[in-house]
Amino acid sequence: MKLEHFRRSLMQSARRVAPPDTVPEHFVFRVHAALRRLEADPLPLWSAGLWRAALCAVAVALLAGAFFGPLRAVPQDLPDAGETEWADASLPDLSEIDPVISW
Amino acid sequence: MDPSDPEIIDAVRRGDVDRFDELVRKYSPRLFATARRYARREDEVEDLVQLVLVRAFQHLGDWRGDAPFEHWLMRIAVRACYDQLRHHRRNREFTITHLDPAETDWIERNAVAPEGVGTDADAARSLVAKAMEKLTPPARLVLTLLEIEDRSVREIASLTGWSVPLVKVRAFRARGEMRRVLTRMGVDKYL
Repeated sequence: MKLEHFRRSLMQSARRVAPPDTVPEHFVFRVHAALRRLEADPLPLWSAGLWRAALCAVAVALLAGAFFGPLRAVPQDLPDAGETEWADASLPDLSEIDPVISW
Repeated sequence: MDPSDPEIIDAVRRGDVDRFDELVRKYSPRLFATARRYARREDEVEDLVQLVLVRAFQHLGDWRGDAPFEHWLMRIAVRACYDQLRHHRRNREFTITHLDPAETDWIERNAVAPEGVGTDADAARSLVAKAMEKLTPPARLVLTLLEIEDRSVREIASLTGWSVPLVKVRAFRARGEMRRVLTRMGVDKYL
């Protein structure tokens, strides 16, 4: 409690002192030059965007691979017998269907 | 009469890039004051403000004019400052922080009479700077905006892009984190 009280008091004191808002004299020219460089040579901007997009694409591909990969990995050497057993169990035999059903 | 921000921005969008200088001149003091809360060295502050202005120039087309340009610019500034804090966090050196005599004196006087210490702002500022250096980036950002710049939770949410509940949670955690940092600095011995 004492510490929290001290912390609040410290922050209050810090609030009273605003940092200086002085701007170095050359600063406007510096920004101006940076913007001119950017206009003259947009390649760094494009390449930065391109790299970012490429990294995102790789990340999405990896995630999609991790998510959908196991679903697609169906064992190729399933015996046919398994399939027929499943069909026998789930579908009724033709002889069991009542032939008298009429529309 | 000075041209308004939308007029200047329209001119820049139409290709008159030189008019962006007017915005640079107008908002640089505010941006420098903000950046100085997050970066200590003056060359870092200049780089940070330049980055904010270049980003603003690059994304000027995104400003729709439904909020003042200053708010939009401050949002870019706060996010750039947060990125700077995170970058520093990764590359910083771990140091042990010692309290100097002026700071211990301030703490002791605060413990005796909290209302009488307002005059010695330098000691308080240096103490806050030392404690803030040790905080995690989200904690430092939220405490600076909430308790030093005195902004509302909603305002912070809009500036940072965090939700209102997230700002509240981060503020709560940040206060605890700062108390732990102060304890590690040995402040509690003087209270």
